[in-house]
Amino acid sequence: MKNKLAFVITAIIMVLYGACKKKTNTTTDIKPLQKEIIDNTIDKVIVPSYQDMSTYANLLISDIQVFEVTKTEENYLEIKKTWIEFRKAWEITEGFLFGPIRTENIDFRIDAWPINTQSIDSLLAKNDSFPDVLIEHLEGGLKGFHPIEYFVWGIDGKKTFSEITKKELELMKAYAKNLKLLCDQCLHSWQNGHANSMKNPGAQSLYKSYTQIFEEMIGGMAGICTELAQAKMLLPFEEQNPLKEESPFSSNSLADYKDNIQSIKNIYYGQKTADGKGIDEIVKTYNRSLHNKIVQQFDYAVNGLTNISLPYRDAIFAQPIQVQNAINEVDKLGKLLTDELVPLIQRVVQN
Amino acid sequence: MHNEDWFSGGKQTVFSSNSGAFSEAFPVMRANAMELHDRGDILFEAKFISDPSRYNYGLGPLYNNISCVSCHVGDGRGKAPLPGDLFQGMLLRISIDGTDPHGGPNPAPGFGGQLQQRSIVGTKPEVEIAISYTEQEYQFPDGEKYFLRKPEFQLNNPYIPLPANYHISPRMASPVFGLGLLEAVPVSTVLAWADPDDANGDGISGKANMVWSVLDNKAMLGRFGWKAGQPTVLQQSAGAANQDMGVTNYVFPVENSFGQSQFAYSKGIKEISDSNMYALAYYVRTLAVPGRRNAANAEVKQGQKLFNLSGCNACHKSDYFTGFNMAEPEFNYQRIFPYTDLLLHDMGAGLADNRTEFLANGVEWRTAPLWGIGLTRVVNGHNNFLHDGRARNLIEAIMWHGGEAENSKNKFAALSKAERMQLLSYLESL
Repeated sequence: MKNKLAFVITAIIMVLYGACKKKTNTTTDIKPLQKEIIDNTIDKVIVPSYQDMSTYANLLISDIQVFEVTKTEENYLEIKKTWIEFRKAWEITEGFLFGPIRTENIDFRIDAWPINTQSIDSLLAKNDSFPDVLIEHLEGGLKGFHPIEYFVWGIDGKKTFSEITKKELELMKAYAKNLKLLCDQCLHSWQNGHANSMKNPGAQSLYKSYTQIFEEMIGGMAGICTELAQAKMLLPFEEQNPLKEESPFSSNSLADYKDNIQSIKNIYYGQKTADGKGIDEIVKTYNRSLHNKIVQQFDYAVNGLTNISLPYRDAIFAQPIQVQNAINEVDKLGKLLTDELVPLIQRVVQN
Repeated sequence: MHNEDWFSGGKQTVFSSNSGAFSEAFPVMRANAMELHDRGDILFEAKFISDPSRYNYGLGPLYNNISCVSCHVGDGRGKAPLPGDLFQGMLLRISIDGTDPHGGPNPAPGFGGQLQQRSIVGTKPEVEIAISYTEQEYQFPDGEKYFLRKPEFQLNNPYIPLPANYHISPRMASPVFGLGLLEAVPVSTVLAWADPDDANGDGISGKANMVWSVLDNKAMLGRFGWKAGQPTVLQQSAGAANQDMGVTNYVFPVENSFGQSQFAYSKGIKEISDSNMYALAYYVRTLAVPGRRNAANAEVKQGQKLFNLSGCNACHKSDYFTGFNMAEPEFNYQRIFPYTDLLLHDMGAGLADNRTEFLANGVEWRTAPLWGIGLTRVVNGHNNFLHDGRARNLIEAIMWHGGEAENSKNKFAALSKAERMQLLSYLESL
């Protein structure tokens, strides 16, 4: 999914041509700040976010096991609660869909949608057990978050705890274990290599310059705006097809969307739970009005989503103005990041 | 000020060097064309499923992967599987001796032209594929060591016995940017470089592959695929939709499992609309080319001289112009720098697949474009090159060259280490 980031870069090079000569007259050495921002964003936002994923995967396995032993409404609600929290943990990583999550094809195995309910039913019927290797070899549309969602909530979202079968629980547990495996793979790849590559740009590194790293981070932020606006939200709305909603069984889509915006904010501010330095430090220093615009656009995007009061599957029919407005605001956020933040970063970042 | 050779895709160049570098739209495009590109973008990422009651229907019954982007991660290059890995970005073609009615590979009875190692629930895949490698140590004349690995493929548990004397050819997913510009290069330009009998005696032949165009119902210049077996981006994309995902379309409306026992699971309808199939191919045609980085660096410039002195540019032809297309001004008259002549060359026994594809014999491969090659790691997280991904870096890729490229490879090997690094710096800048 393109982020249109390069269009801006091309425009700058073609129009200004000799811009590199004027690149920045700044005398302040901002290299220490740049390094602090990148280190902080990785250590306090990205890696902890993937750690959360791993933690919630464990919790989900445990909740399913508890329910297997004691099949109560309370334990069933616990599975639902954990799935939603796990989902939140995932959605707030989607503002940085670069690195191992993409290069190791993990994204497609965690969060493929739509899911193939017919084949999942068939998988359930044809197997007595669900060993790890079976799940590992399944196509994306047959595993990940959404098949678990399908079993927990049911196709119409009205499933009750007493309807969940022993075999469904077996399969859910196998799915959750596979999620844990994939979350750990992503986390370990960051901890054992990718983080270091991003923290130490240079000729021999994966990333050659600080500019390239900041472009990567902004590309991630803008990329999820495009995906959110143009795919997750627009497809079901444009085609008036609730089947195209991302989390249809749990009606969790709007929460997913808001968490995507939160993900972008986490990168921009370099904060997740603890304070830290983010890209905003550079923007506030070199272009305060742009910072204000970005902050304002965060609010517009979140407010746009909040103004959709119905579940998304209903809102695409009953609240078209609110849906279109939210799409527009998310789109505007992406454009602001690519059209104004990228050029600023290219102008002031020192390599 | 940048020289023209920084703009690898002419006006359709983007200066992006992050992991999205291969995924940018043409920067100069009409609004309606951009809408078509965006529609195709969604389809390129779409995960197909086999459930007819839901959208993105059409996967299987036999398939290699569930979406375009699952193999072409970041619109880029597939990663070679290690022993025990799932096959994600690589597939195997299969055929038997002889040709099909149009001169193409002769499909293997019961398996067709491509092995699908995955299937929808309830059906049996054609085969299980395993990979193993043998590795050998070599030395440059200056004593520096390098290693080359060669893959071997094991076909296990076929759903019916494999035919005798079959030929397989592994194929890695290639980057998909810039293909519309390569398509826009006039046929006459490419044919003018062809020298199939090496009439000029320079040791480099260059043969145009003439392949079957399904929609035009005639032979045309092949440009795409590892052996230039496809004439257009549309046919390449539609062929991949059908063969790799089992998604039937207006170019290839017959399931890849037709005539096989797995076909019983197919609903037998065209599974992607004509408009969507066109949009999918249009997306690929209008992916911009990443511009060069560090091209003014002294080491890089020296590397460029060594690249040319070693004769690499005889096949990896640096630049030429696209033609004129009244209907699609986005592609017109651009000076592009793809570093390929789009022709077939003998690459030696070491790389041979011993499988023919139209005019390409078992040792011939199309010159691979080099544009964007230096961004492979940042986009795809690896540096696996060549048709089966056996090369783990650019040095290994060069040292696998043989046949017509033997001389150039030897010149590269004879360089000092510093010079070899300069040449690699040049490649990294492309």
